[in-house]
Amino acid sequence: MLDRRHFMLGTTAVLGTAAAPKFLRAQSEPIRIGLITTLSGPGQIYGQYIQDGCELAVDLINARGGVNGQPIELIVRDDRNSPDGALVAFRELAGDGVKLFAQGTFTANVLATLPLLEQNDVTMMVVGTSSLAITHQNYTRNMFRLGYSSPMCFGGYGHLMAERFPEISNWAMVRSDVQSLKDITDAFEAGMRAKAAADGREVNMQEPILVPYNGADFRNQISQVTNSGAEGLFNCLQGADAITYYKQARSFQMDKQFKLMCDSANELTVAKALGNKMLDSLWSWTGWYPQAAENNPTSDALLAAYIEKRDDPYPNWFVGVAHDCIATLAEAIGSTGSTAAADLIPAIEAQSFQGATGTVAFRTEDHSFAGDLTYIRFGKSESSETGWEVFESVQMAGVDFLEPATPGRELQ
Amino acid sequence: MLFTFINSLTLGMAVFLVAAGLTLIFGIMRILNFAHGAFFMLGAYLTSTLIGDMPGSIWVLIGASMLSGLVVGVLGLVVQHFVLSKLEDVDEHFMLIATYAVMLLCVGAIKMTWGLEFHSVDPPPGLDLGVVIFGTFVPSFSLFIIGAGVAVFLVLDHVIHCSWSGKLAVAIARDGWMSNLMGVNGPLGVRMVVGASFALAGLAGGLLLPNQTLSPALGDTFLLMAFITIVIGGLGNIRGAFIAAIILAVIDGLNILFLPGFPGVLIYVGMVTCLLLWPNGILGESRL
Amino acid sequence: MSSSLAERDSRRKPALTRPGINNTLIALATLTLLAMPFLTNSGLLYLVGTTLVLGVYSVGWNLLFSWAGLASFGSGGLFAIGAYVSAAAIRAGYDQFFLLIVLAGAGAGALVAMLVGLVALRRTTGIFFAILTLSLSELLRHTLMHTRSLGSEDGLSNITRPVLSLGVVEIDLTSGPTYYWFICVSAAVILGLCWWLTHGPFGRRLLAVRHDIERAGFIGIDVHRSRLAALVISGAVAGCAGAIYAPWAQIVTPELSGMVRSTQPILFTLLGGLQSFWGPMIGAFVFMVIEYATRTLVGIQEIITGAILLAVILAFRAGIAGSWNALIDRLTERRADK
Repeated sequence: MLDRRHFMLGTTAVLGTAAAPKFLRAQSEPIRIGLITTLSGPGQIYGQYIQDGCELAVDLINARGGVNGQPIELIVRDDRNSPDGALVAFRELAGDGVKLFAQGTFTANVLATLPLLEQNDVTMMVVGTSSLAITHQNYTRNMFRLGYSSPMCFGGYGHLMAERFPEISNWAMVRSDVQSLKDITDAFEAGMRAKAAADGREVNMQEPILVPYNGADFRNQISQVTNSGAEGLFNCLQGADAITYYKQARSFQMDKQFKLMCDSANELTVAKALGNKMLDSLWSWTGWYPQAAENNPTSDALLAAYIEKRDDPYPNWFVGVAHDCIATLAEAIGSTGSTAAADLIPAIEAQSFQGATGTVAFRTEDHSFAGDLTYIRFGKSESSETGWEVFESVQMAGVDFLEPATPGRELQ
Repeated sequence: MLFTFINSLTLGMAVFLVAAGLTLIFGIMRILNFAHGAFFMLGAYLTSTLIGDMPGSIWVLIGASMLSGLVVGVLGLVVQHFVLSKLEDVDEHFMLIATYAVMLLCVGAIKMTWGLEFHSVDPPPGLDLGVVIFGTFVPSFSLFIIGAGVAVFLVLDHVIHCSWSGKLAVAIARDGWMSNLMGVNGPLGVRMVVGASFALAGLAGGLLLPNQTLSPALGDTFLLMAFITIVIGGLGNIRGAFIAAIILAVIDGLNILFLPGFPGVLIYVGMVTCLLLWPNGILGESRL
Repeated sequence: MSSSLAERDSRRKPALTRPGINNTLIALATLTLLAMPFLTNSGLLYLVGTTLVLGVYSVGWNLLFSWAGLASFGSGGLFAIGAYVSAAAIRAGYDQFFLLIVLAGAGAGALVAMLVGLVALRRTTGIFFAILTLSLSELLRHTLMHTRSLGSEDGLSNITRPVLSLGVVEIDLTSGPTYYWFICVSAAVILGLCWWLTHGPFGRRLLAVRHDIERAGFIGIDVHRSRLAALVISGAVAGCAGAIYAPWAQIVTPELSGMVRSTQPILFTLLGGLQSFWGPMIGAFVFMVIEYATRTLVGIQEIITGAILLAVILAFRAGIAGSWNALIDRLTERRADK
């Protein structure tokens, strides 16, 4: 059966003109890594950051002579932001013999491919997704998630704010009407409450105010927030929604009404879009802020390469995380000399190295990323050419906030 | 309360600005134009290129929007000439797919020209803060949008129902064959209305630019709501669309007051109810 | 390849008629589909299987559109209902009754379609019916996205492929090829039923209603009931296709009820050919080939898909099936003239 199938495969490969070069290429040198991400539709911007990060990583590694003398080849596929698209891309590349994958942005598309990893003997790096399902109920050994779980990065966020600003005891929250963002506000609230309780304080966390996803007008919700009487505000909106929201909030002078404003994860995207109309001061979590990374040549090299490619000194955090995904695979292949999952999985579990985002290491039990957390505060600046600047950044160890490992089971 | 409804009315008028062109092209050609949202977005991008990060004054904004509307209108004529007019004698649903394809092309072209990054353009000075009316704080730009919506409606209504060219367009829409016999240049009339419809999309894009964030998903934000508006109002009926936009605003206001946990859901419920009560739209389907 | 083959055939045997040529082509296509697991890798096999399911789903939609003259923009909602029924039942451990689950999916689709039809059909037609169904499926998508027990926007994942138990025999559908063949068999059964319905008295009744609703009423056809029946059947096909799709993809998400899935049958039908039974299937496969052939050109997908779509629509204004039939007719006529 197997023989006949191989024979048929070979025959079609020779007959089919399109398949022929690929068939031949399978025998040549480079280490092939498949990248599946969203490269069309509304999510394309994040997919492009991931593609940039991975391509720059490959370029940097190949410029150093590759891994054990072998160059890396990146094969990019668009998941069309659908589980179907991700499955087609994964099965195509896996059927073609690709054993190493990076996949990112939207959780549902990642969840679609996870059940296929083991039977295809694939090692996959999941880029950036914060969903708990990936390392809990949908856990599989062949996957490493280089991304920040909500309890870790937003629980840590709540903790940091409670620690730095103990005087603010009344918080309002705003989020888009999407369940995955509920995990984020829940984690922020839990982290804040835990730290306040440890310090013997009470905090009042108001119910999150919901806004429509991809909405056109947020003024009603903005006025609700400004009338809430809260002193601190946590905004959990994404991308264009977040920018529209801050922009429409300006006529309400929202930033004057709150002593402290926190954005979830839009980091400098907000400042870059708003320019000199940026709010006075805003906190945000970020996965990679190269200007704060001291003594990190990997980060510096990536930043330089990114500036050369896109002429933008403030890359999105996805670029750094995507780079580190490729770097993780390269590191493990370098130390084992193998691309088989059986060799790579223990190697990645054991290894720890300096990537662009800081120390890259995974928890053995559920392959969660336990890297550094970075929070930045930025805002309007008269002196800066861009109209805004970053005032400070804080780094914390993520491992302190990582949720308990329950691979294969839902976190209770 | 008043404040909620003023904000919702802002949303309603913003949607009306987009829906006006949509209902116009339906009136003359009987097609739901899927590409309308994309050309709306194109108008916004063009305006942002014209005025940079901040328009110098409200007149700069309006002038730049009109210019973008003109450019988008000309593009609409190109689409009409090369695509829509070729599909006049086949099943009307082919036009639907054709406009879908044009939408993909337009979105793709926008992504290639302006990239994927988010951009923001500010309201002109004087419109970036708020005023107090009857003890209620109202953002000035909301008033600008409401004013623009009403103005566009009044102009369109006057042109369609009172002017010579509007009456000709109505005649062509109601019976193209007969008006041809009467010596009216039918194809020219259709071209003019299609051009006006696209131009309205571009104009709306420019006027709403300081209110939204520029991203290649901007068109999707408004398209579905604009569809719902013209359906509730009666397809092809500009007065119906205006009334429907106000109804939409009221529904949205009620949603925020009484169902804050489910933002944006009542609009669908309201639309289903409206359709069951008035199966052809509130003012009935109209050929302009 | 297939066209040149057919042309050669027709040249050799002048007596060959259009139905003859088309039947040969359908037989060839069926054989190719059945042999697919031996011809391709699992990526392409998955794509072909998905396209087959979507093709069946689109044929069901076209039954409503080309025969009853009703354009629904909300069929994705019915597809999603079938898919969620199937996914939930399999995850609850009822996978040995998979055939019953598929029937339940079809039943759920039919039931919801009937409820919608009872309320909507008497009151709305045309574009209004289209937008009404679109809103209902959007409402369903919102509901699914907010239902934690159905996985919110991440949907239900890790759906295992079932082992069928038919009393004495057990059929293992867990591997890719066997489930693929199961799809082929189900598709054949559903398409057979649809063919029988559309080419019998029922189909003619529907056509009469579509052509002239008043005259159809005069000659004693219950217009409302015929349309309702068409809506229910098309709902059953959508639900059934959804139920078969769930274990194939092994994940279902609320996006199944979104506008993309709902507009797919429209796209496939118009591309493949209006008023043609096989049109949606042809459209589905043509679209699949376009997408697969351009998969390496990432980042400019919109432009490519848009341009090809526009070119196809403008080149084949009667859809591919219509243009193909016209071509064959012209060729055979020319030969007859000689």
